[in-house]
Amino acid sequence: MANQADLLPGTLDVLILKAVSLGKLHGYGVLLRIEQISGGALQVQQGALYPALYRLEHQGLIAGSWGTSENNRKAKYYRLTALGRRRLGEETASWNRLAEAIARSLAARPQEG
Amino acid sequence: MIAGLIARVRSLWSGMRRDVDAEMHAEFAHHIELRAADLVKAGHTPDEATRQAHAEFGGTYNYKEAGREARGLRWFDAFSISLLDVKLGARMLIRYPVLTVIGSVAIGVGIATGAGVLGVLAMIRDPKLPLDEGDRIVGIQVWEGHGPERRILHDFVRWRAEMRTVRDLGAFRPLGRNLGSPDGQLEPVRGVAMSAAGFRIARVAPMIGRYLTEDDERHDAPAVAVLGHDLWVRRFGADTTVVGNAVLFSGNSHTVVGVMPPGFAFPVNYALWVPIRADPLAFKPYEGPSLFVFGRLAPGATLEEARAELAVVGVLQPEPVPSVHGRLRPTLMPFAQSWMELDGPDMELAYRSFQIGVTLLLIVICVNVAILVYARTATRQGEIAVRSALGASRARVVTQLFGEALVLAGVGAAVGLAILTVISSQVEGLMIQVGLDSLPFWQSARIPGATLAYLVALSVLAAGIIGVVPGLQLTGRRVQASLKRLSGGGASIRMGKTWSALIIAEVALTVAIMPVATYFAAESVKATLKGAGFAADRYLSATVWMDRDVFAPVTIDQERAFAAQFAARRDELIRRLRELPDVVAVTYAGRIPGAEFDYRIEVDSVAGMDTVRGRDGWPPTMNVARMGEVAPGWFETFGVPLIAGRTFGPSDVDSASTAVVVNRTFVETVLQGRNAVGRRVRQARWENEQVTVHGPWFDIVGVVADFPAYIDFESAHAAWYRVAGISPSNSATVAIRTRAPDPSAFAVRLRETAASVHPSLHLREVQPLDDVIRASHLPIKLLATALVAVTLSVLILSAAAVYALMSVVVTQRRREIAIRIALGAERHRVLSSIFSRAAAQVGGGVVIGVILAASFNKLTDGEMLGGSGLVILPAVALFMIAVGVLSALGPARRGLSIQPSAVLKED
Repeated sequence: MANQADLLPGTLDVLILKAVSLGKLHGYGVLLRIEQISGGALQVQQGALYPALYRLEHQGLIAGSWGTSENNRKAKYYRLTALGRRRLGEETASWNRLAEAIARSLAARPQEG
Repeated sequence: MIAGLIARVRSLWSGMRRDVDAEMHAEFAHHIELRAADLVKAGHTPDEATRQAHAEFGGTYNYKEAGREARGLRWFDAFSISLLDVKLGARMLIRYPVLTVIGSVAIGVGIATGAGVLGVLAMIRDPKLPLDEGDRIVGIQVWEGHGPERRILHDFVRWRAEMRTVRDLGAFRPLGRNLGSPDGQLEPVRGVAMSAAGFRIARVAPMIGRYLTEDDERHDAPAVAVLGHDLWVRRFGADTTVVGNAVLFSGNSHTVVGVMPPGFAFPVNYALWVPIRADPLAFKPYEGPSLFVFGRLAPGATLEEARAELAVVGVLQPEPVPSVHGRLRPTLMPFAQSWMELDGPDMELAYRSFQIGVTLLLIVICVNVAILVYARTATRQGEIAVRSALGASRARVVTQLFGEALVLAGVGAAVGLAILTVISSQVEGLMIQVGLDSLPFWQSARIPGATLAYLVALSVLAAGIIGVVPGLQLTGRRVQASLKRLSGGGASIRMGKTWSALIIAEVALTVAIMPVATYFAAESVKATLKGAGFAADRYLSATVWMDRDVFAPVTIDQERAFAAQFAARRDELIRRLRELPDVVAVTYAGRIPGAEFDYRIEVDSVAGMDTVRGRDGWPPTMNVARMGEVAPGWFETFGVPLIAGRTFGPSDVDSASTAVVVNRTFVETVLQGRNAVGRRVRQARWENEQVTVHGPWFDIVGVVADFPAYIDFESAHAAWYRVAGISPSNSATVAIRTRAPDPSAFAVRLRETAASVHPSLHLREVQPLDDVIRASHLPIKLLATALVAVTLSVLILSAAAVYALMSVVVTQRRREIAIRIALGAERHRVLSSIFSRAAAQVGGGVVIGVILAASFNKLTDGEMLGGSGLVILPAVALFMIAVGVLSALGPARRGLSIQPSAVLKED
């Protein structure tokens, strides 16, 4: 798919935080939610999602608990913790600043005179 | 930040507890299933969908690994010992059987010694009383110099009235007395006169009836007794209506008021309790009965607070003789410690030194085994290098080696436990042999829990040294070199200076301790061969005591009257025994043969001996000698040969008699071989070579052979004998030769005869004389066994280390040796070059060891080796050199048999 972009390093974590901030999700749900909110533009290597989930859980940014999924199977659901919510806020602000700075840089024109 | 830290710790903790791999597997499977379902919806066939879902997900193994890493569990993985490590360890045990046997036996001896000593020390130093809040029960003593002053009735009464931090202060005094049963039989029983407070302190309710109360302690109260469970079962057939019955204890009738439950023996090991009735007004301070004082810390009070209060309340400092009692100081300790008369700081120091000593011993042994394991690991360098190259971290490799070492140490621990089990199963027998019939109730002959804890701890320590040290050495920078050399086939392992130093130290240690072990082993063999020197197995011995009321004051006249009464009853007992048809001969003495007390003596002017000095710096005529008191006919009864003069006759039983008999060793050591008969000897106290206190002179009338031939740690002691019965006494040791081959069968008849003379006569330590003599040989045998076991382990390890070193050297220098041989070098030159290093190490170790042993020997004035150092030291040195040569022989021969063409072709 030509319009799909590779993830920048370090962005998967913030995308997961954003995905679970919208509601409790199991691993596959996180994957679908990221694709959905990015309009299909961001593709996540499926297996790679899990080490990231465990890392965030280990850091206390998300919390996992076992429940029953839509196909009536045991599944682990992740939700955002208070610590994760704060981190998401910081990361979003930081990302916006960076994106704005890059956009501004790319929009610069040669000065006259 | 703190929230993040807590989350990490929680995650790690749950990761370690849960089956993380299974959880990840379930999560991945769920993911793939959902994805496959979506693909089916998108038009794929189920098979195709499943295949694609798997492909999109990627390799689960890698993600699991990444998952574990993300959870911080990888670090634990590196250090966790897997079943595979254990299997590898077990395989190593089988593949290297010699190392397994040497290593496990050596570690076993080390661990058994270490755990045994530490466990027993812990039991002595910090005994746990198995009673409700047993750790709050304390004992109070008054110390005078290095020993306790127990005649503390006045202090006890004052402490009981004044102390607030200790409640229920009580006192007790053991009473070994006869108990009469309904059928008229007398039996010695471990009784105790104890304050009623003792039962409250123990917090154990009586099983039947009641225990003692303060009312029972009044002088006008009826005599009562409480029975122990075993005694109640044995003597009263577990009769539940026993309360109210009368028992005859110590010749007096006591009414039974209660029975205590099984296992109750408080305060020490007693089977019968009577109230203590001591009137302080009847005695002056520091006179009267010996007492043990105990109490329970008041609620909330600590040991320190009680000590502080005791220091304030203090002890009575007696006015009349302050110089004698000037150093009295009260001490308060946990009860069990006070019973064992353990004093604080000295005990702590001894405990620490033992703890360090045995740990050092184990470390020395483990380092030795580590040398062997290091050499073994030489053969596995390639394997380690390949594992490292394949991604195993250093921690992982070291952990694997640790796991393998743990298996070896585990086998060693099992050997150690087996040794300890055998020893502890012998303890009870040994206790009976040394005359202890029962341990305090808080101790048992079983292996204590603390010992098992030490066993596990020491095994892990051993595995740490054996596995981790060589592991770290081998996984350092050398891994790269090993990989490079793998193709070349040469061993890159080096036995550097550290290992050489260790081998030298080990040889030195072996040589240093071997002389002592040899000496004691020889003495032990001598003790066994010499035995008693007479037919000790045909005699039954027993100590006869006469009961007395220890709580009533006595005048000197009463004391004399008591001694006279005892002498009359003792003589009557001897007379009646002689009349019995089973008895061949009966005699008596003050103490058991060989257990007489030592006294310093003075012999009246012996010409030519004024300037002679013994090893202890004293002239031989001022020597220490055992002084025995024996009945006329004593020597004849045992068949002790008379060497010169005469022995005692009936005319010597007279307070005016001055006759004494000495033994052969007395003549040889004190008189340096001079004629003894006709000389005078007396008991003396010497200070600055001046006689300060002395007894009357005695005349030597005869010389007898040494009797018994071997006692304690020496072949024989100088001894002099006086006639028994001259000085007042309330006990005597009788020896009976019976017609029956087993004298112990006569014990019952002996008790009956004693009881028939008078119920107040009671017998203790009734046992064949053979057992008594064997018990006196026991310490040297135990010491010799322990020393020989440790020395043998170190010796075998030294030999194995030299062997290992030589093997590595030969392997290392294969090419060099091959080239030299190919170039025509003479075989003996090659041989000497191979030997030189081992020779230097063994030689160095032997020199250091001999110097150490000689220094110890000198420090103890030659006592350590019994004066035979000049023979033992060179012999030990030669022996060690021979062992070194033998150990190096195998590898040297292998070195010489190298075929140059084959070796050079390998390259």
